[in-house]
Amino acid sequence: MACAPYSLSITELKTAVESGTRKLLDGGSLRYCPPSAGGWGIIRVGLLVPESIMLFVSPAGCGRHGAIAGLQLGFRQRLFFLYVDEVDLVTGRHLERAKEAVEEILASISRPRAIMICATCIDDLLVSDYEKLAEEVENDYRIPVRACHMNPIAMDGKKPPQLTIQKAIHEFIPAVKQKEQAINMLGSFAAINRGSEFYELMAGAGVSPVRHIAACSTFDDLCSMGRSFYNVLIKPGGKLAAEYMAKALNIPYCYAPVSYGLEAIAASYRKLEEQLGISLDTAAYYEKTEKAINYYRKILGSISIAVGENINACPFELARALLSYGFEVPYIFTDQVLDIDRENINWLAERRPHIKVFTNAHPSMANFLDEKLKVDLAIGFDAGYFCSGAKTAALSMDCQAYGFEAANSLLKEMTLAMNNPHSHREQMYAAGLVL
Amino acid sequence: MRRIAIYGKGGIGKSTITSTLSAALSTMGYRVMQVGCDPKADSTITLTAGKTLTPIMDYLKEHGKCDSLEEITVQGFNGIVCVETGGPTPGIGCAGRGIITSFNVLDELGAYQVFNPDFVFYDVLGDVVCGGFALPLRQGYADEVIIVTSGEPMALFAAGNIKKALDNFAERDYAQLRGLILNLRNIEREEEIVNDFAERMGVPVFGIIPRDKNIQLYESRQQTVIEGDPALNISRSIMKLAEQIIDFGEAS
Amino acid sequence: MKGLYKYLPPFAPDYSGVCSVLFNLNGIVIIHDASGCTGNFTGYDEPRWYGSNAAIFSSGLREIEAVLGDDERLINRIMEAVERMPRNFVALLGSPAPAVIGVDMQALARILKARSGLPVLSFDTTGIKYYDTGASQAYLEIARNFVKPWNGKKQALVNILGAIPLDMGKGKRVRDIGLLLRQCGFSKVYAWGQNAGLKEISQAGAASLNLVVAYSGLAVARYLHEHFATPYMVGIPIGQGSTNQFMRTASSVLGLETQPRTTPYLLPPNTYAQALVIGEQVMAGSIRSFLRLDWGIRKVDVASFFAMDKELWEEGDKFLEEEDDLSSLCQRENYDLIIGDPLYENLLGANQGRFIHFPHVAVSSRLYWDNEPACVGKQLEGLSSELKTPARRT
Repeated sequence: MACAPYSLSITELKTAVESGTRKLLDGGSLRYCPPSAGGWGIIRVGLLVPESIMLFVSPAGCGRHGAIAGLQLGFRQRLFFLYVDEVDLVTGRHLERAKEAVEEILASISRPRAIMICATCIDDLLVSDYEKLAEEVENDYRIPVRACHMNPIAMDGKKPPQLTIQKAIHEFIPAVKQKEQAINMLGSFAAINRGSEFYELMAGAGVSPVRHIAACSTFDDLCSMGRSFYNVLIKPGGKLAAEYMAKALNIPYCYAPVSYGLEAIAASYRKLEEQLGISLDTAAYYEKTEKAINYYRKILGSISIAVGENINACPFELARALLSYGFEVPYIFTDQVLDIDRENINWLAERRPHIKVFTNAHPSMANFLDEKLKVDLAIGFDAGYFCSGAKTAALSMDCQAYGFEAANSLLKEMTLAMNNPHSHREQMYAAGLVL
Repeated sequence: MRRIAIYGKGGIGKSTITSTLSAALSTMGYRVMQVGCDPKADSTITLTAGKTLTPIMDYLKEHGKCDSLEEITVQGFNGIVCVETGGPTPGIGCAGRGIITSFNVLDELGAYQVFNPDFVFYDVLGDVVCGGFALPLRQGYADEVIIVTSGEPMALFAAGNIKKALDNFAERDYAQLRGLILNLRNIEREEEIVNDFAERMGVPVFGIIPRDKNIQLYESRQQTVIEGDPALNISRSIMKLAEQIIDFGEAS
Repeated sequence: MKGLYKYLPPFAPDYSGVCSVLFNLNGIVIIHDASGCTGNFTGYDEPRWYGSNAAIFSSGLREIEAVLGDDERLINRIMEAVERMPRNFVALLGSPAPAVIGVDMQALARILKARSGLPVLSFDTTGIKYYDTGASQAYLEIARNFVKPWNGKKQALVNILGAIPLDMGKGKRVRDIGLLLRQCGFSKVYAWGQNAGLKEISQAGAASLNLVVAYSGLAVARYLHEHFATPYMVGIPIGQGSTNQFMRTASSVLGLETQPRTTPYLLPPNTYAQALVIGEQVMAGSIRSFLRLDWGIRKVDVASFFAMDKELWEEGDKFLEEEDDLSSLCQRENYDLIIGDPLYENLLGANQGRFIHFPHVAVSSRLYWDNEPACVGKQLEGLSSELKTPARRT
């Protein structure tokens, strides 16, 4: 019955990437959705806008996962659903009905500061104009309204939903001419952990405050992001948001990614020095982190680790970091290869040519549990699911490490995971992942 | 029951010919049902005998769902059952999906069992433009397709496209192309051009409809020529065409 | 207003109902969607997904394919999977996007059947309707495609119809019903959608009895009655009174008799004057019987957001089309006891009677699916002692 799960060695992947491959799984296969698939989802990201509500306009089924996650995680009360039926599909009258729905919602709750109206795949196909709808509702109620799209059907295009939603939440920010010596962080769903040295370093260089949408407790706080003079993009998902803000709000940006390897972390800091025209003294943090790595390496021993893609990191960069810390990484689970991954893939292929790379989505993964892959630790719920005997460190998007603190917090989380009595299933379902 | 979809380039005279054919068959004693599949909802206008017909989509827009065939059908001239799918306001929604939704309503209400027609005509807008407009071709709806064309290049081009669509659907057991109806535009060598074309398609030309001002005359009175004056030449041509279609069905 | 939901989550959609019925049948099941719909089922509607090897996939539909109507790519992807992983059949399901572009699922099924040589089922699911419609269709399709003709003598076999986790939970309740049916003399108990595979389902014609435990099993029970003259009974034995009746009826089909086990536990008369059970019609109706027979409550209404069959309808029952329908029903009537999914409680005003939580997976998904109260053959599990007295109203 079983068939071998589809995989490439990292060396094969290197060759494939050189010839232009961007995904392990091309359009030629059906897609498997393991229980570990998913992330924050469009609704949860959309509701990062403080004091906002969201009206989700779709056939009944589409909003189910987002709504249940909302009940689990506590944002359901800011979320409203308008169901689209057959007649709406034909006549497009749901756009008019959405206006009525906003009226009824506003009559039943205290006035929100912002409204997001979310459309789905079907409205992509019907070419419904939600941007116009948002404008009309905004004019009617004098509340800022923006449109966003949960349209996985556009996943392979230039505007996939996971990128457009980050743009949409930053579209509420008005343009401000007078800039401050402050920066915004883009790309992550959480603000950088308070424990990160990043804040100290920035304050020392005269850059303050450091703003992030998730740290804004009011809509006015969000608007103040328009006063920052620079945007730091720390994860690729914020690219469209950064481009939009550069153009519409006159805030330039650079990409200085979250990384876990010491050299990569140092490189992000160097980039910030260049781009912001500041000087950052990071040497002490580098040394301290090097010591921490040695310390945790001794505690954990030479464990083997599987790396997934459903994590707060680029899987290839993380695998490289873990190898450089002195651990083994026999398996990686990921589908996507970004341009920025190339260098890490090459590095890995040179040193560990036999690393196996699986894709979560290939149909053969339905039988994967028969493989009974053995590792000590899995990073990411997906890796943890497929390597079922392993302990799992989620490395979730819910909190955001950055700088040298990223390496420290990763090692702490790995250590905690090795002693974690909770089941993978229990932890994973509690996380409210949405595909 | 024979179920025939009439396709052809927009403006070629599909609705006029379909309605006149329906009228002709009804005078021969057949029970006929005509389903207009066009958001303009004007296919059956010459058959409804002045009664108001609510297009299915209009009814659904108003009431959400439909529980009775009486709301969306009219029995017009000689008891012909008239139906219009209707569609969205131009520029929004999805007209193709409107046809699907309307056909589902007819199915759910058992229209074909209730009226039990000998002939069902689906008068379909223009070319096969998307999934919805191909719906009449699917299994369970039309079994036969007739294309209305003139000798003009654009009309033949459209006819060729419809044939291509049907060939693409070969593996799906969809309706089959039975033949052409030539609606004369009086261009040079028109019959020869269309006969050549039909030969290449491997189908017969069922009939030739000459240009006749009586068609417009009776249309302005919301009638077909068959109802207006069965003795006219044009009426007799259409009766002949109807006989051809009956014969073809019996032969196959 | 119509279609506006402020409190409740969207309920399990039609494609989830189909997938749930097909889950254990070892087929290749494809939802023609971009992945979000499949994610609904795998993440939120199927408690068995974790750790299973069910081959349920998304077609990975993308905009360009949808716009161009490129069905050939879908067919090729499915054929690739069929060749890689031998399974019993293929099922192809729709979702909102193919519904808009009008994909002809039946035609694709015919092509796939010709190319793969496997039985291919197709479902025009749209994500607009709820799971019960999908599940009902799926049961019927299974019966039409896989049940073999049977002219022999009826066996001590019973099919349980409608037993998917979306209605019945993860399996404990269905196993408990199975145990009772064995006590009634049935040696073979096949729960469609749970333990029964295609081999067991193929023998359905030999059954002496079909037991319908949810609305989704009704249509197929009628189909099997029509084709094999198999009688069916509807309901879940909850509480002592119902269980005694259930066992008497079930064993009488085999010409046997069972002794009543124990007498029902009755609350003091008039503890509750009128009760409402909100939920799937068969389950809610079974709880109604329990409240009548064991607790002596005379007036018990059933209300449901899901399809309701006329045969099971009683006066006072209410089909709920909108969220507002439930709140206004409860405002209008003076229920002093309400049983239903915990999420319904948010819709009721403060001045309601007692509310007993009885989770329904099709409503609250994973929020409570690990702690379903047992109820088969006994009274509802986990009831607090304060329920013996009615709530004091202000």
